Amino acid sequence: MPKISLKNITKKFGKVIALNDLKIDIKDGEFFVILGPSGAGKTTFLKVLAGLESPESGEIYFDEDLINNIPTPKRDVALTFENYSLYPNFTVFGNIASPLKSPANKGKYDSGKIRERVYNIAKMLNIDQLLDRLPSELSGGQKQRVALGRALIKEPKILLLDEPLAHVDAKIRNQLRTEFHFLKEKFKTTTIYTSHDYKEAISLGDRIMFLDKGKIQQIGSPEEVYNFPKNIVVAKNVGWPDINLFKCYIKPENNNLYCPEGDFAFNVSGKILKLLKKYGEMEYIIGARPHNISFSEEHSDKYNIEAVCGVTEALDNQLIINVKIKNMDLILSIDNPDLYLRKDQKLWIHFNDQSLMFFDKKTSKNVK
Amino acid sequence: MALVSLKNVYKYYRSKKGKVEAVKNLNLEVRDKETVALLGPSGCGKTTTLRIIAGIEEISRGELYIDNILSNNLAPAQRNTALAFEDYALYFHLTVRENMELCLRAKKLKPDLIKKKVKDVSEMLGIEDILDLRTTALSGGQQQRVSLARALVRDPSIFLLDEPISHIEIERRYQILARIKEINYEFGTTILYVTHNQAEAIAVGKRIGVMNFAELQQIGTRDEIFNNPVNIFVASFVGQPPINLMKCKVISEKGATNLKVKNSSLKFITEAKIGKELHKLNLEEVILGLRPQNIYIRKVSDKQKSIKGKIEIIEFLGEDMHLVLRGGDCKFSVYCSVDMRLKKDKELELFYDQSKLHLFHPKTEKAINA
Amino acid sequence: MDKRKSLGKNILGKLITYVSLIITFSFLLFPIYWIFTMAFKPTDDIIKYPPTFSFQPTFKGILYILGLEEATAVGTQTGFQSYFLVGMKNSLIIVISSVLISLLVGLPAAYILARYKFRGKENIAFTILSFRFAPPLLVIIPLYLLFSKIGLYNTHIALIWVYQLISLPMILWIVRGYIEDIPVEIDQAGLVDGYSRIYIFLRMILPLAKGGIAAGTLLAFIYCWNNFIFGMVLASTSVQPVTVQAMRYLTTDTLMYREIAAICIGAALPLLILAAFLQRYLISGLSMGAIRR
Repeated sequence: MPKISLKNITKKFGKVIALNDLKIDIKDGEFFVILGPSGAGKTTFLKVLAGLESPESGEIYFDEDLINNIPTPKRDVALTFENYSLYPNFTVFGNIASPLKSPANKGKYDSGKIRERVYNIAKMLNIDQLLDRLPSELSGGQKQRVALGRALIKEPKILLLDEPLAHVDAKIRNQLRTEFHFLKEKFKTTTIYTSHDYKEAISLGDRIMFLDKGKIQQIGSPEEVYNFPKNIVVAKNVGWPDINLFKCYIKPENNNLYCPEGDFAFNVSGKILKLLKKYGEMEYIIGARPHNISFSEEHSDKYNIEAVCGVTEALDNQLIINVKIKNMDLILSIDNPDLYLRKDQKLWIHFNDQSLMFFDKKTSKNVK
Repeated sequence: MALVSLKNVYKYYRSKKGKVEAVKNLNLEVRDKETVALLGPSGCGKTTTLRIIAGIEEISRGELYIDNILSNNLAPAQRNTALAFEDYALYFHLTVRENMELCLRAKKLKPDLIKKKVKDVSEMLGIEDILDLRTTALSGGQQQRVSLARALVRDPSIFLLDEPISHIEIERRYQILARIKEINYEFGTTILYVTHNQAEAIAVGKRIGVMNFAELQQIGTRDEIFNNPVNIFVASFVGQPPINLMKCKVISEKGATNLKVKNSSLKFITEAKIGKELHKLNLEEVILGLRPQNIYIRKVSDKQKSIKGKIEIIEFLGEDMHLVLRGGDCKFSVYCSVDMRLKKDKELELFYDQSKLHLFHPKTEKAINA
Repeated sequence: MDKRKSLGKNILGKLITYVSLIITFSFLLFPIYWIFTMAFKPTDDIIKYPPTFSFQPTFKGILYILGLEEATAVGTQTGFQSYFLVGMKNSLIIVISSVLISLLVGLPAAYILARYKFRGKENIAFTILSFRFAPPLLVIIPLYLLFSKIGLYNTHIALIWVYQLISLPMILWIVRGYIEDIPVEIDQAGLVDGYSRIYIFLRMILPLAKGGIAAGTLLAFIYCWNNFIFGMVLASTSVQPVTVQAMRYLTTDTLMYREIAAICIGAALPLLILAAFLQRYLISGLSMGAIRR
């Protein structure tokens, strides 16, 4: 099973640059996730790998072989489309069997073997009772499994999955994502999985690549991408509710951090101050995840930033609290959805400085 | 004071297969200034209920009171309700402003008053800058806000919303939900919100009514629904990840009532009073429900009991973790805070509070309480 | 809800609707009814003024055009000849061949135009469509001179060739629209599965475009069958289709209205039967070519 290498891949559609000079190495057997908002270029990336789109420049290597000029039917890849793209006039059986009957595989499989392999895959995906149905008779989740079956049956060197859970009902999506963990073991092949949902990415991926507007923002493990986002774009898109961002500058007289929008100051540990001084700037954009901001209903030395409580939302597993510090909006989140807070109640905020992120005001890059 | 009240309401349809009950014996109250969410799977009767209140469906039996007036036979225009449809149903050949003004002009209000109302409501929903655009030029999120504005500008007694955010881009959904909550908070508008998405219902509703098969299963606050579900359907429909349900054998050991999960090594110990109840009902088997959020990886209090399981799946979700563990043949979910030391195949001891165990009758599926 | 009021409104509404429909249809169908009855009327009833609705039906006209009755008027068919049957034979040969050739050429072209990008694509497509706009009278004389010079005057081949101006654009545009409606991901899934473009075109796209192909074929057939001018100018009596053959019953001796009416009915018969079987494709086909996404 190959390692995949992309060298300086650029893909344009007219004036729009969909993929901008990408350079990536994907390891053998890796479950590689591409995370990004819609329009980032994730689908284009997969289509370029599959040969359905040709890059304007750059080279693609599968296992040291240059494959730029190899046409799609001859590349050993399988692709599931975001909209499943099942053949409407074939049954589920026909759809799953189709790669085995193609000219590329002529003569390799007799009909008995084909039936056996289709049945095994269908059983593994729990769709063996649907083999005679047409795609129009299936639910979204079932169609997705058929698309997976069609991709897996040819045991491809590379498996490309384009937003497999995007069009599934919210409730089922969580269950399917968990189930994907079991499925992952059965793939036994290098897999590239795209999604716009960070939860899917950090739950399933061995490594995650964050793509935005055709450019790689960061490649790293799930913990790295969540806890040490390279820039503001990554920080905003990974995590929910969205990370709080506000400007601060260092007050030279007492080394406090002052936020002009909310008119408050707080201090950080000596280690962090040293880091910031070394970086050299006076103004930063601070990122504070809602989970990492604590509060108390009473004032104390630690909890000393005054805020006013706004609307709260009790969700399944968390309580989301909208607060205002002077005119600045902040979102907090705690694990206890049963806590009762009144609107307009006074709260006292403390920023956990170990988990704060500091971004360069001009480049949006993470200082740490 | 109940603003809207349905008493023993039934709705039948006649079809080729005979009589179809869309709504069965519905008793529902929406109090003044309250937001009630009506939650259930498709076909459960929640949209029909909304349409009955709006007046576009007839009531087969029972009484509907709006503002204390018996409204069964009032035409929709005579009831002071406003309905925002799931697919917006905007007048697409008109601009946003014209959409909003249309019904006010039909009511023959003075032009100055109309102007003011349109201005106020459009500011509230953040659509002042698109007032003169045609509705076809708007994004899904904008169309939805216009649909809400059009309903709101009529100053209704009750605001009926049918799946308002299901067709909006994911990025904007949360904002519009928050806006709807603000409308209720700032202006005291009574809202009845219909959805099949339980997370939405919990976020928006002060009380949540869960419906299934044309009947209202339970109505209560988020707390009541989560901690005291009346049956298995309510317990499993609400909550993400869904509640763990396990079939158990009731065993009395040393005076305590134990629940041994079938085909598994897991054993749960229930509270004494529940044990007595099980004994009274002469039950040998029972269905146990325990929410993933109520299983902990660290002991929090001495009163907690424990079970053991082997980790099969670890899902790192950033703020939290979702684990799937196995005890014998039984798989169960745990939702807890992040602990990076956990690895697959590790044997783990987990803790629970007896008070959080939910027991259901194996045949009626109703909750068993002391 | 007052049930009685709504019921009353319904009856009045229905009445108005039905009466308007009856009037409209009577107006539209009357000429057809008149021609149909003319085929069975005795000659005196045909030219009678004021016209009557009742008459004694006769089959003489039908038999005559089928060549089963002896010719009487001067300059008409001699003996037991039948212009009608000659015309039908020619129409069938020419129209069926035209449509088949248009399908052979047009279907792959429709696929290419729907799926591929290349310079001048829209220009080519529009040029072919423009053949439908141009009045045949514009080109008829040059064509006549051309065909005469190369010896194609009064041949089936000439007409089959010229009819491409009618059938090819029709099939091309309707089927192209249908194929554009099939998501391109289906082709791409086929490629990823290892199939060649030709296989994908034949085994996956064409079956999915069945509706469009039927609509296009039906419309092409109808327009070709109804064509008059090409046959009249570019061919002579042995090759002319049935639409032109009808004129031969306008003789120097008498105007054989009944026989002409009979030919009209006879010529329309194949189309009516075809349309009756495939009518559901007609409506979608007519709107298909008009809407470009």
